[in-house]
Amino acid sequence: MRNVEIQEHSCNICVVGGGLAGCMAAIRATELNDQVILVDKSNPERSGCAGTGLDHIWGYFPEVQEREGVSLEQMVEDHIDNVAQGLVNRKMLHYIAATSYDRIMDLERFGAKIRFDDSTLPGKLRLQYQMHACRNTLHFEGRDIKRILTRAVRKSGARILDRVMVTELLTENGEIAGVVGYGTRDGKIHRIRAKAVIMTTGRVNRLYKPYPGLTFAIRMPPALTGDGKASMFRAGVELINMEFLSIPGRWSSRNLIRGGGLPTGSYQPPGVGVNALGEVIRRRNHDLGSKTVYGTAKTFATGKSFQGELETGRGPVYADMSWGSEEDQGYMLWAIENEGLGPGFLHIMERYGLDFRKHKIELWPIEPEHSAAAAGGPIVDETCETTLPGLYAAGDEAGGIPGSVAPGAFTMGYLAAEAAARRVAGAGTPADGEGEEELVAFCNDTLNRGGGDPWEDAQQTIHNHMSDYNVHIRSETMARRGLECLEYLENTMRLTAANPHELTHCLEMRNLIECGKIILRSTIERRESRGKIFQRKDYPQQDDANWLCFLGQKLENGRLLFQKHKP
Amino acid sequence: MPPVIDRKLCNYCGICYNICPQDVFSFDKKQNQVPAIPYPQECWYCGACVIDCPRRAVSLDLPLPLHIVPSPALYGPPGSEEGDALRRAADFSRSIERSSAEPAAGEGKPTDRAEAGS
Repeated sequence: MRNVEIQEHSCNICVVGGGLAGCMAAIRATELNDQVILVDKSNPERSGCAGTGLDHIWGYFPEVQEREGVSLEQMVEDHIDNVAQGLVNRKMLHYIAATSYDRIMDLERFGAKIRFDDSTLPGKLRLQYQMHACRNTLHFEGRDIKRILTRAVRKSGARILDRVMVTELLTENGEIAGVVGYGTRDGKIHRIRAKAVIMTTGRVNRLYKPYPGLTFAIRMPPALTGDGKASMFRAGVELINMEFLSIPGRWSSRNLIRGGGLPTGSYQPPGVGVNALGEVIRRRNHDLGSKTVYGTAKTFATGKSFQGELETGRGPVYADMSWGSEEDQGYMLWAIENEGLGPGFLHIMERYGLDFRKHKIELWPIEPEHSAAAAGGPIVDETCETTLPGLYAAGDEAGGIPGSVAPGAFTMGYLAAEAAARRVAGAGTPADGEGEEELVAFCNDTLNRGGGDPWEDAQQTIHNHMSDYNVHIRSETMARRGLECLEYLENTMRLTAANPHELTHCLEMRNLIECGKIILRSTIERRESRGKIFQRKDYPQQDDANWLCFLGQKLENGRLLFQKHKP
Repeated sequence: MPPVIDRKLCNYCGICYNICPQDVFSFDKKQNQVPAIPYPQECWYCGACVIDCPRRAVSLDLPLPLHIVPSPALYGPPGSEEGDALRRAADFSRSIERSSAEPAAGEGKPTDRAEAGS
């Protein structure tokens, strides 16, 4: 009989997750307080969505946008209407738009290169069109942004606790008291007491069958398994928007799934979208067709869609980046090198004799994705505080701000750190807290079982249930059956682990099942359909009168509670 | 299966093991050996180990289901008429100077956008 060892830690502010939001939060928190721990499931040097790069970040650049006659309010309204379809935390969105620029200046201060001599714009910025109807996305040299940020975290004096997967919260008297995690390499339980906690563990990936059939061949980081959302829910925190889902997650390169670099990618000019007959069906961002600035037409508009081409017998569709001069293609190469997964993409292309300048890249609709366009997560107030006092959430972890992406991570991380620092100022020592019993029991049972179900079997079962019951044919009856299946899995599986690496995966299964159940319950509760992110067969109409709101779900004294919140 | 370490180039520094977000490597600094790869099937193909290896000793091998089947591009060699038109529009979009080629006449003029936005 082995029992996991428990190691105690104590700090004033604990930041969970070392991505863009977590690093920025740790840096700002340490400027204001000298007792900060940053916990990461892997290593912040290369972890999270921007692990191998980030080539773009949107914001309001006064020196350019003012000259072009675009106000901050116009840009925010554009985001509310066209990115978020009206359902968004407006105050937080406004804060993100207004302060993204300041955080970009921080990145420059930390050592990122953001200015280029060949720019024709004030400040020597390379700005592109991306999500909004104005040129407000900075293109910069971000391949090593995580290394730069990690260096800044170390310099600030924050302590980095890496290879620890946080999966439970400690609470005392209805307030946060810390977190509990599992050491993915040392196999210890780490009990971290803290007076304030900032959660930044990001999205829930690995819920749906991956397009190429391999568990880890997905667009977003497979290490992100909703650990923050699951642990917050178990601790009684209210989550919103969990029913929303991007279907497909993206049109991406077939087989080797990549995000950027395609017609919908951030770096312009990327390719045009063509069908199998060679007809252009999607122009590039800047080649806006019928779109006018702050008008209503859609970007890329040609009257044709990728899906439409497949369904009318003109598929497959491709991204074609072959046109243009060497100079243009050099720019593309630079951009790909700096965007996440880009360096690996170029390495693989070279190794396998592929060249985006000579070969089209075939595009397919990949597996659904949660928490990005969907923005599912804890509801937060104007300081990023969740419904549990002292617990904050930032970036993709937070609910209610679709399309906040990198600027959301930086700005909310900063904001949460300031609020957390105010909270802990003058407070006494951290409380003892409780909340780890279930985790300790799960770890000991799994390690001592000596045979049972491998985590891979549970992962495949989750993929099957979530893809069958919650993607193309969503309804109350399907969601109820999906819930039965996940509960059966939860009660029946007897996971086994031979080492900390495998036990980490077992804990991920626990969190994926938790998130899956939350999603299915919210799916049942929202009795309407809403745009591309929520389609029900039994309620096909959008119902703004009743449902233009966030749907909250939480546990209170063991009972499930749902409530609506006006955005 | 990925990643692959060139045993002749590796200097046993352990950086790949330290930074891998998927934790596919194992390594013991005291042993002074090439890192082992006990979990190759958990690779995300992100390329962190490739770019961070100081000896360029790591490369990624793709399993067959992830191969991209080559497909020749359509617009042909640089300088084609259609490509030129697209390039002119691109110059405006990305806000950088060009050292060659005529500036675009008509479509994609910077002023189009600036006026429309005011």
